[in-house]
Amino acid sequence: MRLQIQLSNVFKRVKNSLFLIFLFVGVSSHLNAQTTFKINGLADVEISKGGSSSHYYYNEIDQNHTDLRIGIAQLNLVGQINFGKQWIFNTRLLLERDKGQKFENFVIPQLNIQWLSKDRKVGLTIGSFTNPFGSFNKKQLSIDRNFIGLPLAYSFHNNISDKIGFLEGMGDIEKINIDGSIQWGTSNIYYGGYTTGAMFSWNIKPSKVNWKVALVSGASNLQKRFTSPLNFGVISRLKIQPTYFWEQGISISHGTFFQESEVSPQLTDLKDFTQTIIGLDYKLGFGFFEFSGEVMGVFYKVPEFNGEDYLFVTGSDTRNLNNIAAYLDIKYEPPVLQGSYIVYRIDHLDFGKLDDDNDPTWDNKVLRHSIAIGYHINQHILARISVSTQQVDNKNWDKTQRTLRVVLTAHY
Amino acid sequence: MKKLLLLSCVFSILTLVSHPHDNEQNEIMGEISISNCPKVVVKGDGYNEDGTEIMHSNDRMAKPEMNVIISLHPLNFKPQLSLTQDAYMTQTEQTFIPNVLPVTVGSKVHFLNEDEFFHNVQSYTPKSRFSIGRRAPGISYSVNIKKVGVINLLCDIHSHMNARILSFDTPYFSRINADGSYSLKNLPDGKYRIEIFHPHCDKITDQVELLGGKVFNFNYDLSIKP
Repeated sequence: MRLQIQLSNVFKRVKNSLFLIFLFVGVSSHLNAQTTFKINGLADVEISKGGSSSHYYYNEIDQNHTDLRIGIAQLNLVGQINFGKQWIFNTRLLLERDKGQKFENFVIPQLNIQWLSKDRKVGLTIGSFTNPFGSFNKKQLSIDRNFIGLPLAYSFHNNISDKIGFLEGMGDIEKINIDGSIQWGTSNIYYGGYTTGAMFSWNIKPSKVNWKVALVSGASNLQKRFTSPLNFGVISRLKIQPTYFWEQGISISHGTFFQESEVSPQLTDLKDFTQTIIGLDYKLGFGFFEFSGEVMGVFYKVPEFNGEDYLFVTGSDTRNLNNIAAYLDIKYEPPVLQGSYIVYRIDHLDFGKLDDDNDPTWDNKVLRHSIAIGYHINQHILARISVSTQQVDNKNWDKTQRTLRVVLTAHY
Repeated sequence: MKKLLLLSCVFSILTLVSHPHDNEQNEIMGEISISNCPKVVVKGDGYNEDGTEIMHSNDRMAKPEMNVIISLHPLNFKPQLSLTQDAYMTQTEQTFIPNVLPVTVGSKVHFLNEDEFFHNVQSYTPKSRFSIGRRAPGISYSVNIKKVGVINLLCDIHSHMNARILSFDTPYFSRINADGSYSLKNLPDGKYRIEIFHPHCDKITDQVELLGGKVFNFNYDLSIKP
């Protein structure tokens, strides 16, 4: 009965959203004779199995679905309306598993309008758009991804929460219930990959130098589009192409992310707590090989929380905590089997010391190895199989978060 | 013996009547108008990328109206095929140029990257699947076209790039001029299926008979099927 109600709510939201979009499409088609509509659809059917200590916040496998599981993982409808050559409306409707659980989470991650100059060198985007930080966020659709899972920087939740700040052992050991939900921390970058605000894009030298800067509603780890209090962030990326086989990106992100909660009145100003990320992304290609990845340094200014008495630790106003996240993908496309590839990823998350060199790190180091094989059965169907294993320092669930995922992606 | 000679003569006469006469060369010409294309709703390019990162060439050979191909397929005789020479397709400003390349089956198509960054050329078309891998600027790579029909091309580095090779088992084809006019000469007598291919419109097919070494005029509208 509950499932029926949830599904009917999802369908109602989908119906309302589609109605609004089709209304917009209908009105716009009468406004401009040069209007064109572009549509894509994508569906993922997934078979997955996780190690005994799997958790969505650590390896993207829900703890209640570690056994063999089959089902639809996501449905996408991507739309674009071109009003002539200078105005573009972009949207993406997504129905996915809610944090790896039930297939009922309907969101509109992309909803923006972009103005382009006549020579397409300058653009201004307003609305909800892809976070310009780094190179992975651009790979929003699963057909653009080598792997099924996300890199650690985008998925592994660390000991910093947007409601209680830093707490050692958050989630798996310390079960802190704030406003009715257990705090599990956040990943360095929101896995959804979208942010909201305004973005200026400048193709300084076409194909050689491209720069974007966005004023957005919070830091890159922020999961909500609209928050209380209103947060603020700046994200920028400079993409350069030193030579034909090398694409290099330099990104920076800074913003606030703290949320009001039952414990936040203890703090004087939530905007004192920030996240700053400096990142490098790279892509090198040779024939049928490709090397790509990202390196980022992440710096937090957060309060520390005492889980026993539900009070923020006084005395040291904020803690300056940092981590380094890096991954490298090595991909090979065998020419003898066109449409196939094999890719290996090494992914690392390393945390700084709490105070000085003698202190422990503020979270546990993670090292993950992944291998994936993909094959385009035809232009519209991609099959992938991926396995991963991860080593987490000083945790009793070390090496029990292996994953096996098989995904069939149908796309038009 | 006389009977055999007579039979041979009758057979020769019948052969001449039922097969095209090599000396009778016809010509067709006309105009192709495009009154109701392209489509308003089309397949997108996948992920909606920031528009400043997508390049479009202004080269005339990238425009749809310059990529309309007319082909004549003999129905009652088998034409002699010669391989298409210098069948080049370039990748310039993230655009395949030309967007449609007609060749005879068995010809080599040369892909040339004229941008300052990597491109790839992929085809998932059944019986003509290939990938040339990442190719550096200025280096051409050839692919032998073994299948008859439309071969769809993609660049998997730039998802908005697409093009087609039209591989024919007939030597009688031509690109339509910018003003919509076309002309095809040296067509032997016979019955033909005419096909007109436009990258964004439905294909038009028609059937005609050319006889007597004349000039024929056929006009088509890509929005209306004959």
